[in-house]
Amino acid sequence: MRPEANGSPTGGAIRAEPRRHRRALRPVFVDQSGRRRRLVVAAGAVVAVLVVGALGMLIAGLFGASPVPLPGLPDMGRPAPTQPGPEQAEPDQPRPTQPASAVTPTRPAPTGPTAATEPTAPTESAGPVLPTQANPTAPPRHVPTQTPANPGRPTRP
Amino acid sequence: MANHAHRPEPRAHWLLLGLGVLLLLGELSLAGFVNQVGAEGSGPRAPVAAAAPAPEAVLTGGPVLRLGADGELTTRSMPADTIALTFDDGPDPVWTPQVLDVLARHQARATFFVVGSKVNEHPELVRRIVAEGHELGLHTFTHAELVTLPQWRRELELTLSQNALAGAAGVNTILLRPPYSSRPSAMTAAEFQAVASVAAGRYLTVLTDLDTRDWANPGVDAIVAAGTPAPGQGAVVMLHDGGGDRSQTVAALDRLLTELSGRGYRFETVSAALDLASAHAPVDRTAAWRSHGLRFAQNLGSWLSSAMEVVLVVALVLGLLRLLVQVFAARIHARRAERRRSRQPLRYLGPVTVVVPAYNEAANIAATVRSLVENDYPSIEVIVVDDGSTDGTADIVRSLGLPNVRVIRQANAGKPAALNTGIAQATSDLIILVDGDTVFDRQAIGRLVQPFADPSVGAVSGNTKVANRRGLLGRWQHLEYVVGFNLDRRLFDLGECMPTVPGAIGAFRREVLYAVGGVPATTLAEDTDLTMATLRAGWRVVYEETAIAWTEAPATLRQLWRQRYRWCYGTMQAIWKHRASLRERGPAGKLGRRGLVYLIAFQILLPLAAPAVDVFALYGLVFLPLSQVAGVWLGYTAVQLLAAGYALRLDRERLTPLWTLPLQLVVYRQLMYLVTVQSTVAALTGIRLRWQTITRTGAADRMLSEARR
Repeated sequence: MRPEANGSPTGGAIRAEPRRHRRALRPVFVDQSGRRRRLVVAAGAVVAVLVVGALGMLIAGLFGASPVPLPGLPDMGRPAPTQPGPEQAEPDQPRPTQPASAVTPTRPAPTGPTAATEPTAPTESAGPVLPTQANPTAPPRHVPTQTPANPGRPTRP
Repeated sequence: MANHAHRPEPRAHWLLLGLGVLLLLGELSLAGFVNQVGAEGSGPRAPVAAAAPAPEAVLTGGPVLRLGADGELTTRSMPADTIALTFDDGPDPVWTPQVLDVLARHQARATFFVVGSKVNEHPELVRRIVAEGHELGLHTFTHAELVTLPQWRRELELTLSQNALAGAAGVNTILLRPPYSSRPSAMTAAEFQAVASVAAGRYLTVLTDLDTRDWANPGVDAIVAAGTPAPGQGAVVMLHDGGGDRSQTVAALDRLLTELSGRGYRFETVSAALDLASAHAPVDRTAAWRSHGLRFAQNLGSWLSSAMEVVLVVALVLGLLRLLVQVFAARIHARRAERRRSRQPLRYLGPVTVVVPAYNEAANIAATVRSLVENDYPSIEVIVVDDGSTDGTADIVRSLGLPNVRVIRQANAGKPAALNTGIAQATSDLIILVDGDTVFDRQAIGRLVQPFADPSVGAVSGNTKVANRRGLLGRWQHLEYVVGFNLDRRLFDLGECMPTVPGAIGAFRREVLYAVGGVPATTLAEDTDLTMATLRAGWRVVYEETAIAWTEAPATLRQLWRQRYRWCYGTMQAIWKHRASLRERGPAGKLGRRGLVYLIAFQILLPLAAPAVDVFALYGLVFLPLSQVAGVWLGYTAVQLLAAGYALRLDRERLTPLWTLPLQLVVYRQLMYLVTVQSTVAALTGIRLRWQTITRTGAADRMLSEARR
């Protein structure tokens, strides 16, 4: 392929290109120095990083959402229209505090052995433990919520 | 060539292409998902006729449902004199601010059940909702009807919505209102199951007491009447701040607030009305980042899908236009050629030298040389240049003992060098260049030189046909050749911009070859390079479709890949080498502005866009109406079939191979565009390529004799 390897006696007329003949003897596109290759590789790497980043963002958005603890519904001094059976205990659940708040003024005395391990109160983020996991049989934890201004209620963010 | 050190072929771009395709597919899917967003009163609504009702506790219970992780159900209603205004289907850039303004004027608090994808589109509205003391609830990501969705979609709808809220306002929420929900008494068992499957232990489900049906725009009075509770009773009131013209809602809201606050009603968020702590929970930093990612992905997806639509339309229009122009041009060309042939009988135009470069062509060379010598043209000289073959190619030719056949041996120096050796030895003024694997039709030489009767013609292209037409690959290539020679080449002939006289069968004037400096060796497509140089030197290059040569096409995908890689890369080299013709005048300008532009558009740019088009087709199969996708595909295929059928008829070929054309959609099409990708990368990186020959089996001759029978 390379002209210098061309051993055929083709004569001057066939050899010479009219203009830029030095350049014309080199294969088109070939870069002996390898500089262009390095440039393209670098550009490709940048594009790859961007593509992987965008893929990561796409995938990350599909997952996550750490669960927010679901509070029990406070009994508001009158029975709910229906009281179907076993969820009588529901209103007795302690209302969980705002996850961000470090103090738990509404939480009364420890509720048996499970309370010691309950992680929601001290951790900063919303813990995975739902209030329903608290021992529902503990009787004295009912916080009357008749008073409209509950002092233990954290302010709305 | 083989002696020189090569860097390995680049490979990393395949990974990049794969990742890019994956990203495009993902982003388009997200965009398609988001585009399905509906609102109350729009989109499909599953028929609820004869549906079993939800459990009694739900039907007769309050509008706020709490399902424990263990499935325990509690319901609550609003306390007396308390109204929880709820707004669904927002945020909306027009109506949400108006609703917020009215609420602020009356110092009322409300709850907004927002659609997650719209949150990503208007995060600032969500921030304003929170800043003004209102609360947020989920209304799914795409306003999807939960009961119709598989469980994974339900989970995804809520996860995406929480992520959207986290990104916009830095909070998650425990409130959920299923789209298309109404009062508890209207709930079916299936709807309750669907809600329970996602809400248990995680969300308070907020239905409504008073469904104003404001989305149907029933008039301000009707909305006010529907939103007014019985005296003294509390209520959850359902309104909408998105999904259409909500001016009636805004007006009705103002009246409701005025009238009801006069009667001593308080307007609270759902959680405040139930004496709960806030429904919001702040999110940690990871969740915030994730949510920004989601918003970015949604924006990118929406942008990409619009961009892809433009690309698709451009590609489709260009493709159709090309076929149309081709068929039109082919018709004109065929008629002119017919007239010319009927006027002029075949003439003797002086002696002809045929140059056959041969590198390890033992399988074919005897048939090639015999077919040349047996041509019925009065004076034929054949020069076989053995380019350092190791399989005894030269000896085979010598052993034939044919008169007027000379064999020249040279050390391996490449095809252009072999051609130049033969050209230098040629004694005739007309020189035919032939590949070592090509078998000439008996009339080919006589026909091929006829156009030289016109002194302005410098080169003539013959008509190459595929000899081995067995199997899908053979038929595909046969069709491609017939279309390429009968549509493309006739168009190029009319446009005086023929970019290639094929190496398999082409004739040149000796003075042309000398004027352009012989066969150039700086590109891998020396035939294209030589033809372009001929045009730029001011000669005409024409097509003679009756001069037929039979060639052996690659029989395996690997061989086809190598051949096309060389062609594609070589064509790119030739285009680049002759790029100055884009600005030149006269015949060179015609080559540049017609031929090169055509090649750049249809052999480089469109194939490079083709992977994205394929991805869009996949996306279309899932997200677009099937009739639309099928219509476009069928229409395009029909036009292609018509054009190919016309090309076959022009060449007096049978139409039967046409059935393989729609199958080119898989494998063949991908191979063709991936070759272009590979060639582009090779060109950009500037690596040196190996000349790759294909393995010859002598099939051209065998197939030809079969075809003649």
